[in-house]
Amino acid sequence: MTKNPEYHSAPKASLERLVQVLAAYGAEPARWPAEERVELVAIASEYPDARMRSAAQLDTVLDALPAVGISADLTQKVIAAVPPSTVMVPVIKPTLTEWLADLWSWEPAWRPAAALASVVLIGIALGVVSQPPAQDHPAIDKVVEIEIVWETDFDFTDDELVIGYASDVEFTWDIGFDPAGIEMASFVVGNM
Amino acid sequence: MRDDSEHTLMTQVAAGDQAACRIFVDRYLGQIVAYGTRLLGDRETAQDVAQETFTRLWTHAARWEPRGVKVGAWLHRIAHNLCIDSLRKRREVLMDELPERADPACSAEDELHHQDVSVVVAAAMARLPERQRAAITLCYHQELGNIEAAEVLEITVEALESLLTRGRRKLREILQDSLPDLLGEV
Repeated sequence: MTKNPEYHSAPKASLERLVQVLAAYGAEPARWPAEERVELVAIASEYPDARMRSAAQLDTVLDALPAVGISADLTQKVIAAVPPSTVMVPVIKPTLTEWLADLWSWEPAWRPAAALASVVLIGIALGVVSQPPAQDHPAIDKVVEIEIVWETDFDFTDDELVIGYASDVEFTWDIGFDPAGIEMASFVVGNM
Repeated sequence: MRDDSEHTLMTQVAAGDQAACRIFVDRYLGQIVAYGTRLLGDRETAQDVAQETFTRLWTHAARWEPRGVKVGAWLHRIAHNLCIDSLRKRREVLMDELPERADPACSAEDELHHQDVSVVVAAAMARLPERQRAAITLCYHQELGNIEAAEVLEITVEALESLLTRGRRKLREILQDSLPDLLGEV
C-alpha cells in the first residue's frame, strides 16, 4: 500500500488540511480524524468557508438514508448457529476455606479447618490405637490411609503437620497428590 | 460482576457461552446487517451475509487474537469480503442474463418525482464504485473512525481519505441537479 501524495501533504492543522478533511469526511467534526479534530475545529471557526456549507449539504443528504432494522427471527437464527460447547467452563464454587473465611475472618481459615479435621481424625485414631498394634514396624503402631474429597486450598502439601496430641501418642498426617485427582492423607499414629 | 471486555467475551464465545454470544449479537448484528444492506442494496442478501459473518465469529473465536483490531472492525471486514463476493457473483449472473440497461436519460431528478429522498440517495450510492461506497458507508453510516474503517478495507488511512473524497465528489455529480430539491425535502 503506497501513500497517496495528495493526502497529508498539507501541514497538520492548516487551512489546506481542513479543506482536505471537509472533502473526505464532511462537515461534522465528530467524523474528522480524532488526532486532528481539536485544532481543525479551531481553524474552522476562524475561517468560515463556503466549502464547509457545501460539505454540510452532502452530509444532510447522506443522513437521509433510513436506519436498517433487524428482525427477531434473524437474531434467533444467528444465536441458534452457536455451536454446542466443546470446552468445559469451570464453575467456581466457594471452597471450604472461603466459607470458613466468612465465618472466621479474624485469622487464617486453615486454623479452624485444621481444628475441625483434627477432632475427626483424633476420633479415628483413638479407635485405631485401641486395636492390637502392628507387629512389623516397631516405631509405628498403625498407618491408616483415608481418602479425602479435598475442598480446601490448604498450602501445606508435602509438609507433615502435627495436628494433635493425646497422652504419649503423636498424630501426624502427610498430604500427597494422587494422579487420579484425589488428595490422599496418610494418617500416622506413632509413639512420641 | 461480569467482565465484558472483548477479549474475555471471545474466550467465552469459544467455550460456547450463550450469554457472551448474545452480547456480541446485540452489539453488532444490527451494524452488520446495515452495512451489508447499504453495500449490496439488498436487505435479504445482507441478512445472509450477517448470518455467515456470525457463523465465522462462532467458529473462529477460539483462534481470535486482538492484534489491535476490535471485534467490530473484524466483523465488518468479514462482512465486507462476503459482500464483495456476493456482488461479484451477481455481476456474473447479470452478464449471463444480459439485463436491460438503465435509461441513461433518466436522471436522479426524474427519479425524485417518483420516489422519496432516501430511495434517490440510495440509488446514487449504488452508482458509486464498490470501494468508494464501502468507505462512505463505514465512515458515515457505520460511524467507524478513520483508522478502523481503513482496517476493514485493509488500506492506509491516506487511501481511505482518497476513496472518501472521490466518493463524495461522485455523489455530488450524480445528485447535482436534484440536490436543491433533496435538501428541500430532507
